[in-house]
Amino acid sequence: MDYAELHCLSNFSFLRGASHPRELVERARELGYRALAITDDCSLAGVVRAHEAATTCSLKLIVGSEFRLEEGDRVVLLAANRQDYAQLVRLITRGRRRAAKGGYRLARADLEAVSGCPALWIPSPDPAAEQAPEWFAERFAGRGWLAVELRRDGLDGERLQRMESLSKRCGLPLVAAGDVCMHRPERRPLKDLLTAIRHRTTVAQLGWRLSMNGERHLRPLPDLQRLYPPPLLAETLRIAERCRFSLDELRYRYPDDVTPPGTTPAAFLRRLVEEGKRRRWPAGAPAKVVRQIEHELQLIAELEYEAYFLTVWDLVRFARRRGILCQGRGSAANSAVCYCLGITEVDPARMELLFERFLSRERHEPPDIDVDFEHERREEVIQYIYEKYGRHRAALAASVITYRPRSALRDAAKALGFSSQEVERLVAGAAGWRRHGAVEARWLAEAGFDPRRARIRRLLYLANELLGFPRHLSQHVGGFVIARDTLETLVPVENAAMEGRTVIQWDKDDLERLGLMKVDVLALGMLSAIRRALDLLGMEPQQIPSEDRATYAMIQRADTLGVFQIESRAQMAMLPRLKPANFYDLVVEVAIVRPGPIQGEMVHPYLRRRQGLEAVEYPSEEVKAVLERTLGVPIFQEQVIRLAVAAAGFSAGEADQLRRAMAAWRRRGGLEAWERRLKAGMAERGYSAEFADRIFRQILGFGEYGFPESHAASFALLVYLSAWIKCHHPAVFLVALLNSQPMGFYAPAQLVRDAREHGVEVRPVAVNRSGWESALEGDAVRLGLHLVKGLSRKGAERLVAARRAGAFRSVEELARRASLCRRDLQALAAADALAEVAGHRHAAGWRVAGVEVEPPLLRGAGVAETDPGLPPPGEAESILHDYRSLGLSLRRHPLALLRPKLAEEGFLSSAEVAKRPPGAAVRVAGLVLVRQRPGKGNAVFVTLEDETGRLNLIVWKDRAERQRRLLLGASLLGAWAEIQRAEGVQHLVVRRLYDRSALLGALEVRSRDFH
Amino acid sequence: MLWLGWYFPRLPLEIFGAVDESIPLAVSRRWEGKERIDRCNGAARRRGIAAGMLLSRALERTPELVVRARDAEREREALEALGGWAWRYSSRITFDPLLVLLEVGGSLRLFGGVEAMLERMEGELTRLGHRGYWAVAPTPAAAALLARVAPGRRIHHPRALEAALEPVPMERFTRNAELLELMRQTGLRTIGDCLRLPRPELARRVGPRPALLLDRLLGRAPDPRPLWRPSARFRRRLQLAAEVEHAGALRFPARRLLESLAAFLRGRDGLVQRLEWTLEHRRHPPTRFRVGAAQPTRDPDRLLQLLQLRLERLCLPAPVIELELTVPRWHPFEAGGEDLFRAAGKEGERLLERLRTRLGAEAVRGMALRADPRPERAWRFCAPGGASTPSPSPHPAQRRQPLWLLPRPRRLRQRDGLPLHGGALRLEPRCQRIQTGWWEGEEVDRDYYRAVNPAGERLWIYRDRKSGDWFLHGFFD
Repeated sequence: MDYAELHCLSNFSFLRGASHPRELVERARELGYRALAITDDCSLAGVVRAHEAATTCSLKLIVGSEFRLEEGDRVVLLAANRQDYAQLVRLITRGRRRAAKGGYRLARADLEAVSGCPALWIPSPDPAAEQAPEWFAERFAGRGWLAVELRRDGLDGERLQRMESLSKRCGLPLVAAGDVCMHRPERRPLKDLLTAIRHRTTVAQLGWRLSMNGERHLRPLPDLQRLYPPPLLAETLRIAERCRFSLDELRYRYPDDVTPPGTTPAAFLRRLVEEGKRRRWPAGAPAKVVRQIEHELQLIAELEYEAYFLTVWDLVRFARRRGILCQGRGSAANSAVCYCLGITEVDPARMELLFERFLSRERHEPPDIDVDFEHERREEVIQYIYEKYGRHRAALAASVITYRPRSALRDAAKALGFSSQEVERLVAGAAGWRRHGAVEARWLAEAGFDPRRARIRRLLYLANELLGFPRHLSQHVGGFVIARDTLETLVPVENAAMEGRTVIQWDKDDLERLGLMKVDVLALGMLSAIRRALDLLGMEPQQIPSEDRATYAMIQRADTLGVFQIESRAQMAMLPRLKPANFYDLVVEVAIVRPGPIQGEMVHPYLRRRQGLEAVEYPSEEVKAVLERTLGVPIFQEQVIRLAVAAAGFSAGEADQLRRAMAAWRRRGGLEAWERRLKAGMAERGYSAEFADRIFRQILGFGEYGFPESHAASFALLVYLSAWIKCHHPAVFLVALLNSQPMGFYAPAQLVRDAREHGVEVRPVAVNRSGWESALEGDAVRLGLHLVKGLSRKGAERLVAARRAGAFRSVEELARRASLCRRDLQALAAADALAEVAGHRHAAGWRVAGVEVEPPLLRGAGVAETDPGLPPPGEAESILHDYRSLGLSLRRHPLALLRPKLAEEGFLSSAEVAKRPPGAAVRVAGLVLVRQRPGKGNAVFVTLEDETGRLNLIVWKDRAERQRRLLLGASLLGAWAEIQRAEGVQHLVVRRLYDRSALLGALEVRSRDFH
Repeated sequence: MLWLGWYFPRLPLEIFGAVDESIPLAVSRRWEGKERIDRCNGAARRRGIAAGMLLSRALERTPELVVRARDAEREREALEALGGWAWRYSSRITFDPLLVLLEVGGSLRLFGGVEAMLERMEGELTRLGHRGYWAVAPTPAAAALLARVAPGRRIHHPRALEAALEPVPMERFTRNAELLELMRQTGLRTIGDCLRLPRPELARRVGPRPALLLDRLLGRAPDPRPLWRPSARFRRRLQLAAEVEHAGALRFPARRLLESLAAFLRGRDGLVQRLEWTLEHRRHPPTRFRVGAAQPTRDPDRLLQLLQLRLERLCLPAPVIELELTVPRWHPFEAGGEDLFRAAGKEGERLLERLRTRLGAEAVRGMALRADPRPERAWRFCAPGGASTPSPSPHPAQRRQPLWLLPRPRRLRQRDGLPLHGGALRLEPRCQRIQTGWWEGEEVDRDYYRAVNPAGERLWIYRDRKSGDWFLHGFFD
């Protein structure tokens, strides 16, 4: 006996299916099914995963979808061939586009458009219900079946009888189906839980909405045999036989819009590359580069990827024409071809490139180029894509939102009837660094629940089962898929939450598996900042001198606040040790301060070797060739790959599979086979077991976090550009950063403070001077109105426009000429931006409150007011108001005011700390700028700021746990700590923390001398 | 005029019966988009909980914290009950949030002056389980404000009022956002600051209302307030901070309700004869019963005794989470008692009443359906004459199940793996599989069959899928 299941939902029928597509496919295979149809609810979101699993375990997969029609019928449509598939896609798109995100609307009439597709009519589960499949019989004559879904609910006998009479009445054959939603009966509790979540109630209150039993799983063949008359089972095979469509048939073609008529993409690409080569190397390219280009072009031609490179080239060209800065990165970006095409700026002559990493003969995946654009102008590029290719050809990829520990706990607990207070308590336990991984019994115990109790055990079990289940589709940050002809027959499109946005039902992994082209159009704040700075300087990026010594000197001092990437605390701590002195050092710097190299324990060997404290040795010439430029220590992802090739005899394609396995092992494991191959290969070539072991550990460390060299190089370029601007034009740098917020690690307050420390004069926001953005006033910086909290952009723009006719002389005049609303005026007064027209903050506040916003009936008949004679604010109050309203102050640092009090308590300033010897224990205090818990979470890093500088604290885990609340809650943090200083880097290792936030509150006590 | 303000800042906690100071208790409410701690008891404060804290943060810090959402409805009830208590001291009573305000100028002499009256009131409040703070002032608004910011303050003369109120921060007096924003912007803080601002200019900025409120506060403008009238019906609920599992442990919270009732009755010079008690359970319908006294009374000890007699016979179906006392009717002191058995109402109710008296209240029960596929749980007992929640409609499969179920499934002997009952059974081929109940730890996993034995008896049997044993569960016909 044989069987094919034709009606089966995966968990991509959100909150209905209780098994992953892969689980269903593997179970069907295990049970010996002839085929399995995945028929998610008006969706194909799970089919690519199912297809992949089916290919792996060689099960026949049928692509289909279930539809619940407005009339109440349920119908399953299957794709027998490519045309059917296209109709299915169109139907899903139509239903989904009509409804809000997550829903769909289809009626019987919509099925008229479906001319193919074997179809199953699904009766209502209640056999007594009115059943009228006549319309279905008419529409699907010859390709329609009535599905008999027996479920052992005590009604199967009646059900079968009624279906038999229906079959006679409308002349359609019967077929067995399972209405499956679980791969095994053990999933029943999870299924019940999902039902409760879907109905927003508890399992206990579901009543008859709950299935009576767990029969909706993939049932073993003998079980089916007991249940169904044999002809009904045999019929499933006849239908399965008709369904010959496979996703492998989807022929995706790259768009060829960019290629001019009369030429081929290959020829056109070659022409562009040649042009670029002449532009890049006017005196002729080095032989090595020429060879590289030829090699790459050959590989691209072989894999027919020309159109892809041309499409990306076109986007970059568009951005250039619009003056939008952009830079490519990601897998295929840093090839010599991309350099010639202007997609990247990193000179391949200076880099080792490993093109096989991006394109390989053994892989069927498409190349991948991500392009970063200025974050404020990315939308223009997106609109360009839509315009050029049309919405039927270009769409955003989906991103599948799945259950994480927090959401899983929350939903599971609610469905199990935990009270809302209990839910809050449970969820509080899954906060912070516990957002990933499995839900642990320990957390529940910490939240005051006894994990031995059955109720808590059930919760724990189900929350973990729920983990990783998809909840809904969201839009990917910028992954566009573009087709040559149309996406309409390829993948369904549905509405995204954002107005006017649509997403396809597949995510980027799905696209990759099917070989669809994807371009990541990403937003990067630093590009906006660099563009602004270049505009102020009247320069182009190429005009910035390379290898500038003053810039490197600044970098070596770790004077890099605001600079791209190397402004993070970990980077700053590395700079004085690594002392980057040329561009390649920056590339290493960017790549080395990453979790991969840090966990692979590569940082210290590299530093020691660079400082000449350790000999640089290579076990062989092959290894030397790979690692020479990084002193024998693998720092880049591709070095690990190349090691596999050079030392263990992997082919380039195999090495790439290794890279993918590396990226995935943390989630799925499965590196054992690679470990054996790698170590065997290395032993064969005479490497010591110890060396092989080290390399393997480094591979593990790289896992998800390693940077490829090319990627690091693209970033390093931005590092250099931003550092050069900061070094030579600190005022311009400040203006550019302020106007590109939010971005980077530091807030405007720190950027302004840093610029002032570098001698930049910064002038306050003033209603008669400031524009919307911050701007240069000669060599000084004038803060812009954009910093004023609560001020509307429209109001500010009216203000600036009205000011062209002359400065404002009073608040009333300002309000009238710029027609500002009360809120805008209040915001300006609070920011002390009205000093010129209304005096001090308090007086301005009073005046603003008295402005009649409606045009006065008797214009000109000004109201004579008594002046209440308000006293001006004191310094402390002014500072606090500055922070509140602008996020920064040009007055003294708040800690300068508190210093006498702090000194009394024995707290030293950062300047005083610098004078103490290492090993000394000191008390320090400062405003908390940044808290970080990197990597494995053994320590929390805190950066404090006082009036003389910044202090870096290290709080080890046990101390951090013991004083967790204080650590997370205090805004003015004190610490008793030990000074550690080495190679120009200072850290304070905390022994104890103090919350001194109350002192800040004390500043707030205002002057009471008002009479 | 002299107003006495009683401020009950702990009322939101007290309504949850926070007598036991060893349990950290807090009430939460939503503000600024987040659930936060509104206030908490001493035990919670000692564990570092403070008002304004995020609820999630508080629970993170003190997992054993008992948290309830603030309950405006119950607070209102409790405040009205306090109004009932205050009624005997003054017939001019008005409320502010968490405040009872009494005009006492007229009744001071009756109670022997302010001191004597306050002492007496304080004693009564302690018995009632409330903690209150008082202040005396010539205007109700000032009495209310002082009770909050300067409890114990007594100001008899309107002229002394301004000096007393000047240093009070404005935000303690009003929540007028516009005014407070203006004060913030201009560096002003106190009521005094505000009073010194030029009036017309202030009105232009924030309208006339703040000035009017200040005038009322200081007695410069009349402050007409609706006076409260006590209701005739007594109904109070007490939510228990911890679930109570033994009826005996209800004594203490019940006593608080009875004290409160006694205060209510004293205020009206009334007596009661019949009390209605309701015990709320989590996930279980409430237990209700009445307790009647042979003679009308308002003595809490006597009423407690009567309750206790009832509690002794009571078997709690589930832990109690809330206690409610309702007195639908009370009698003036001199009126005679009511016949305990003179049940008003419809015919059916009378029958019920009689049956109950004859058979004992527990012996009379109603039945209702439940949406549960387990046959033994497909119905439930309920209050006779109608369930509190409507019955769900039956599942179609239930039409095929027998009406006659055994109280407990009976295990069947087997021969060759097949069940016997008066001989070998013939089973219908299709079974009904029932798998459910995992979330209660009472999972069933059974295949039900219709079967016939040689005598022609039609049986409903099942096979337990876990053990493989057969059971007889019911009979058809």
